[in-house]
Amino acid sequence: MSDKLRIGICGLNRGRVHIKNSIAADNIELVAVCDINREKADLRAAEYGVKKVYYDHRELCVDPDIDAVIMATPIDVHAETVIDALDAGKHVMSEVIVATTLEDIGRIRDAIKRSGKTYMMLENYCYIRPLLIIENLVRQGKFGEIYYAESDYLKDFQEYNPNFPNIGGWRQKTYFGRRGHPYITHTLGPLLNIMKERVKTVTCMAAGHSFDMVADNTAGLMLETDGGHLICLRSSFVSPRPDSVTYYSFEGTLGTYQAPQGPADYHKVYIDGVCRRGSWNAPGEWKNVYEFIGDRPKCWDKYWNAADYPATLLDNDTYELYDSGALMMLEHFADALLNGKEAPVSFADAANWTAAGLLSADSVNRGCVPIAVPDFSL
Amino acid sequence: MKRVKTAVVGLRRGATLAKFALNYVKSIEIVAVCDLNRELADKFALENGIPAVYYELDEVLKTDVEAVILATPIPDHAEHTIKTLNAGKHLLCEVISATSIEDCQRIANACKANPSVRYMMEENYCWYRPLTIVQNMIKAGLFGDMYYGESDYLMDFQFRAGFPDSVQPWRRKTYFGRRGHPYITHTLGPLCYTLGSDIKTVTCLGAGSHPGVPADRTCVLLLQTHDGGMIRLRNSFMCTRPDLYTYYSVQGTKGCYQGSVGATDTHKVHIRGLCGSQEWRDVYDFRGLLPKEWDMYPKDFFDDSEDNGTTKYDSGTPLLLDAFAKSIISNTTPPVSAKRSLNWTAAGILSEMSINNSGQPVEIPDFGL
Repeated sequence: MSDKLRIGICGLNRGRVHIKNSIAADNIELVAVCDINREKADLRAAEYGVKKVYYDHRELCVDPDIDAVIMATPIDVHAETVIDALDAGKHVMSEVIVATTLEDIGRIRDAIKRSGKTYMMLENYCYIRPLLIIENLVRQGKFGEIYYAESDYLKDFQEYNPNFPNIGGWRQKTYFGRRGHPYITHTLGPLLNIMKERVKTVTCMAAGHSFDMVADNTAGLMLETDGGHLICLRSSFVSPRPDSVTYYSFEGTLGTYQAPQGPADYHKVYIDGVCRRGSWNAPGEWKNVYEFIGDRPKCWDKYWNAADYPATLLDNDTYELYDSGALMMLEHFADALLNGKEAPVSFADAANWTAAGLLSADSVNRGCVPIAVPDFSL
Repeated sequence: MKRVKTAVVGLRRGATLAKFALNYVKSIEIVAVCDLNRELADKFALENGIPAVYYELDEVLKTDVEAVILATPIPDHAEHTIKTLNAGKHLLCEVISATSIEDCQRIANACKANPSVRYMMEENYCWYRPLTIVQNMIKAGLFGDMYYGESDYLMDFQFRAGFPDSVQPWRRKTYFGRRGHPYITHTLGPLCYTLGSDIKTVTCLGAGSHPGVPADRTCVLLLQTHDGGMIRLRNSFMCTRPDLYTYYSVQGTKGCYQGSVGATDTHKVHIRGLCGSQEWRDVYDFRGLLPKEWDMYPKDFFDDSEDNGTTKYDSGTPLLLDAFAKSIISNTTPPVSAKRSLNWTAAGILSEMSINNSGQPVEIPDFGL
């Protein structure tokens, strides 16, 4: 392999972000793009000066000039397209979620084993800017043992889709087509990525049924990890409120992080011994995560100017944040493939997270009983 | 105006309640106080001009008081409640109603045996100031159909000197002495009260034990309501973070309230049609919907611009005391009835059974009420 990973990108709606980031990445050479919509494929290739264009993912997958494929196809065809790429001998970087059935996750696992290629999932929320600082603080032991974490994924498609509840496409099926929290990895992934644990059981309750769709108005999940710890998630795509899609909290024996809950709130950190302790009716002291900018990972400075993040910065805009680390993610993934390093978001992790989301529907349907989540280790 | 002749029993918490009544509540007349600690009881009566002082609940129950405000330690609630009800006295009992399902049933039986006697639980957080605005917004139909609520009760006792032995015995027993979320009513009560539905099942899981106490470091509860809604709660008395014990969020088909999580956060409301896309408004923008009962406080008593949700938990207690007295005067069911009090309390007690059964859901009994 050369010093750059040669890639192709399939699916150019979401894939457009990956085109931009692949071009910007130091260790990636973008060789080809593909979309079944010919017009869109030609347009994007011309727009970004990509030499090769395909209209069928199978043709891109057999291109000998390509080492790895970014699969940004619709969720319901992830399994089929990912397996085609693996069987063509390509590494795969797949968009979230892995697949929509446990059987398909198993089929991808089989394809990985028979091809000997690497699968990684592009869980961009693992690279959200403030989470990178938190991850580094956790690795230094500043939070002690993390025993609890939580996240929300709350959107309102009534507000921004005039055709609601018929929003169409993969979103219709994934968001509205089943109960529980199938689109789980943006909430669960970043939590487990930092905790370095896997889900053992999922328990889910749902409420409200106001629309002509399978999904409930909202679902709440409790997940037990193999480390004996607890995660709590909430999902909703019909919440009459401002969106909240980058809310995370971690609680450890020595410290806590809680993301902002509103426009006047900020990314808050409490570390015992560093922050003032509270007493009755005098709450302890939260510090702004950017007061810990000195604890940023080394690679941070390549992407952002640390001087732009003073402690007073709110940095609480969900949509400014959610894709903030997508370029860093691609470079990390390419580095792992080029240099034989451990996959940053491995198949075993991605499959575990995805399976927990799929099985949350079973828990709801069975009256909120805990369901064991299988191990998809290779 | 009729005033309810009332005795306050248990003056640690009871002193605060008595003072609220003395200062603001016209429908209550505090005619007696009682505490096992004679010095404490005498001093409070003298300083506040209370005509009668007792040192035993039994002595209070022999008098002609109409109602008792019971603020004795939690482990004594059931026994004191049953005695008081059977003596024919109306009762406002501090949270939680009881500590076992058997005692909940005994209290329900005592209520049924004394149908003219009013029982209410002193769940002051139901009258938490920003929540009272939200409750009126819901009544006005602004939130649509309600289906979701959440609340956190997070405190840190672990870093107090001598933990856990230095903590008062009833707190130690209730907070750390068992698994699940027994001290549940401050989180669950206001949500049920605001959503308008009580609990059918509770499911609870924990995050691993803390050395030296039976309780988990933290636990989470998912509760299904009778009308198909759900509630999510979290509890911890040993979390390494600033305290947060007045955080609530409720959601309906048209609107959402999310309380402050502290620091610079605010009490936020979004109402479809009234707010712009992605816009939170401050709940106090709707202060015109504050119940008129808040007028019992002096004008400008509250600086709502400083309400960040961490210290005002007792703000609505005079409204609660007034509601209790008025239910006696008008012979109506109190707003936090025996049925609701026992439902909420039992959900907390049974969360222990769920957590000990690895998160199996548990049904809440109706105690025949």
